Amino acid sequence: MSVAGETSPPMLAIRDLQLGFRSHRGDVQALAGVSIEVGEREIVGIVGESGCGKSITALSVMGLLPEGTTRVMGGSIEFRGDDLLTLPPRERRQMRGRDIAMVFQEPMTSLNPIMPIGDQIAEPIRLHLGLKGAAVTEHALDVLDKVGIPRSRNILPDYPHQLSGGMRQRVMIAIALACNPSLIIADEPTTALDVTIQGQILDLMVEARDTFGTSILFITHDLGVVAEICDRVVVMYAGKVVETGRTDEVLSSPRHPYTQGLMRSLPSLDTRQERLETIPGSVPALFDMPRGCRFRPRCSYADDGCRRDPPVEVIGGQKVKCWKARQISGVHHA
Amino acid sequence: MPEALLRVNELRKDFVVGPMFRRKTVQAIRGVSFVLNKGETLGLVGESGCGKSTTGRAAIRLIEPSSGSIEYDGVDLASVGARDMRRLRQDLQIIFQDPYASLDPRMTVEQILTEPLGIQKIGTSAERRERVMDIIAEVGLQAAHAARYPHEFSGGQRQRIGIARSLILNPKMIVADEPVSALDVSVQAQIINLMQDVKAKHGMSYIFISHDLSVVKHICDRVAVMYLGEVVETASRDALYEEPLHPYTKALMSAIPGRRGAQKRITLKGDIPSPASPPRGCAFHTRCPSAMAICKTTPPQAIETGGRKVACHLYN
Repeated sequence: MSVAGETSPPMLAIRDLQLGFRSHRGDVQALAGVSIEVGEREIVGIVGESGCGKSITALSVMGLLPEGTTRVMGGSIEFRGDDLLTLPPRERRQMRGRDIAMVFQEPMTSLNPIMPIGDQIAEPIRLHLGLKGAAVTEHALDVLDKVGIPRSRNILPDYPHQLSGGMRQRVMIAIALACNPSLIIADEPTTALDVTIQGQILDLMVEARDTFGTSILFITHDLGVVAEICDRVVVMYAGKVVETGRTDEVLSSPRHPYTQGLMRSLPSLDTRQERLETIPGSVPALFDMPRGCRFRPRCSYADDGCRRDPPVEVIGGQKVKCWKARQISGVHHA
Repeated sequence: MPEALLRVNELRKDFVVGPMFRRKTVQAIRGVSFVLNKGETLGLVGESGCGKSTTGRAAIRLIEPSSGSIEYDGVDLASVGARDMRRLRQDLQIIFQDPYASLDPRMTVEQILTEPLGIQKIGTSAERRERVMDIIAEVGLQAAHAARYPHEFSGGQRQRIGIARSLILNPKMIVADEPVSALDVSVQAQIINLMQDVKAKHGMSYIFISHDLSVVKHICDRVAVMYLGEVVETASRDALYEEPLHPYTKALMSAIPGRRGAQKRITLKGDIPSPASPPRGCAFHTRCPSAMAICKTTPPQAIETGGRKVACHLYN
C-alpha cells in the first residue's frame, strides 16, 4: 500500500472546488467546495450515488466540462504544482493524454466508431511522444500486449463494434497508458462489464500502478470495488466530500452517518440479515439543497445545529464533515 | 415437501438474427429446466447473454418459447390458447429493470394501475379506484401521486409504481427482471425490503433475475446459475454460497469484489463466447480451469446430488 501521499506533496490536489450548472430553474451549485488529493503511486476511490458530483469532479480535472452550461466558481486543481484552471488552453491540451489520461465507463460511446483501433491508439503516441512510422505501430502493439490483448496485431484494423465489451475496455486502458501518464482518471470503468470481466480489468489497473507507478483516481458507486483496489477513499454526497480516509479504515469503521447508512444498506455476503437497513428519503435535487449539512433531512442524528455548514473533524486518519462525528464515534476533544 | 407452482422443462428459445441471406440462429436458451415452488424466491443468475432474461420472459410467455413445456396449474403454458392465456396472465406478472422505459409516459399512475383491472374486467370503477389506492399505499407512495406522470418520480419511486402494477391483479408469481440494478445503493435497499414485505403479505413466488450475487443471496431461497443459455447449477441459497460445485459458479463467487476474507479470485480466461456459436461439448470448457478431454466433446448431463443439481463432468 502506498503512503507516499502522506509524506511528499500530492501529485494532484483539488482544493475547495466550486462548480455551477446553468439550468432552466436558475444556477445551481453542483460542487460545493470539493477537496481531494492523490499521491504518487496511489489509487484513490471516489464513491457516491448518482448526482453526488463524482463524475463532474473527474471531468473538471481533465478540463472536459461542457462549455456554456458549467462554470468554475472557485477553488483550484493543482497538478504537480501547476493550477490546471489557470493554465493556457494550449498547455492544458498538451497535458491531456500525456500526463493525465482518462478511462470512461462506456468504451462503446467513447471510442470513435468509424476509426480503426490501431489509429486510435496511434493518435496520442504520434501527438505526444513524437514517434513516426513503424515506431508508432511498435509502441501501439507494445501497450496492447501490456493490457493483455492476445494477437494484438490482428485487432489493429478492427473497429470498436467488432470487439467485446471487455476487449473494448482493454483498448481504452491501452490508449490511456500509451504515453505513460502520471495519473489516470477512471470513471466507472467496470460498471458496464460482467463480474468475471470486471475482475480482469481491476487486476489490470492495479498492475498499471505496480509496473508503471501510475496514480489512479477511480470513480465508482461500488464499495466492493473500492475495497478491492483503492488505497484511500473519498465519499461524496450532494456535491460535497463527506468523508475521506484509508479504505480499510473507512470501510471497517465509517464515521459519517451517510457512509454508515451506505454500508448498512448493502446486502452482506457474510452475515444473514432479515431486512436491509435503509437511508430514508432520497438525494435532494440540486436546486433544492438543504441549508447547512446536505444530508440533514435523511440523517437520524441531525438536530437544529446541523443547519450550519459542518466542520471537517479529523478522527484518527479519517476526515469527516459532520457536526456529530465525534459524538457518533464516541471520540471527544482532547 | 414444497409444492411446485411452475415446472419448466427443456425450454428452448431461438432467435433469428442478421440481414437477409446472412440469417443465423441464436439459441438464447438451450433446454432450461427448473421448478418454482409455492411461496419461494428462485434466483436466476449469470452474466450478460446467458439467457436469464429470456428464460424469465419465456416462462410466462411474454416471448414464445421455441420448444419445451411450462406446467402451471395443470396446464401447459407453452401450448395454451390465447383466451386461456389472457386469463392466466392475472397470475403471472413481471417487474422490469428500467421502470422509466416500462411505464407509459402519457399515462398517470392511476391509469397505469387501472388498466390491468380493465383488461381483466375486474370490479366496478369505484372498486377499481379503491383497489388502486390500496396498492399505492402498500408500495409506499402517497394518494396524491395517483394523478402524476412517471417523469415526475425518482428512479426508486418509479420502481415502486412498477411493483404496484405487478401486484394489482393479485398474482401467484412475479418475474422480477433485474428490479434493483438501475438503482442507487440506498434506494436499492428500500425496494428490496418492499419486495420482501409484499411477498410476506401476499405469499406469491418470485423468479428473481439478477447479476448481483449479494442481492441474490439476500433475497432468494434457491438459485439457478446460467451460462450461455443453460442452467449449470441449481441449489439452495446456503448450499450454493457455502460450497459452489460448478467451476463457473466458483469463479463467479470468487469474482465478487470486496468479499471479506475471500479466497483468491479465480480469474477466467477470455470472454463469454457468442451465443450464436456456443462451443461444442460443455459450453464452459473454453474458459474452465478444470476442463478435461471429455468436456470438449460431450455436453454434461445435469446430475442430482444431495438435493442440488449440477451439470459438470467433474461430478459424473
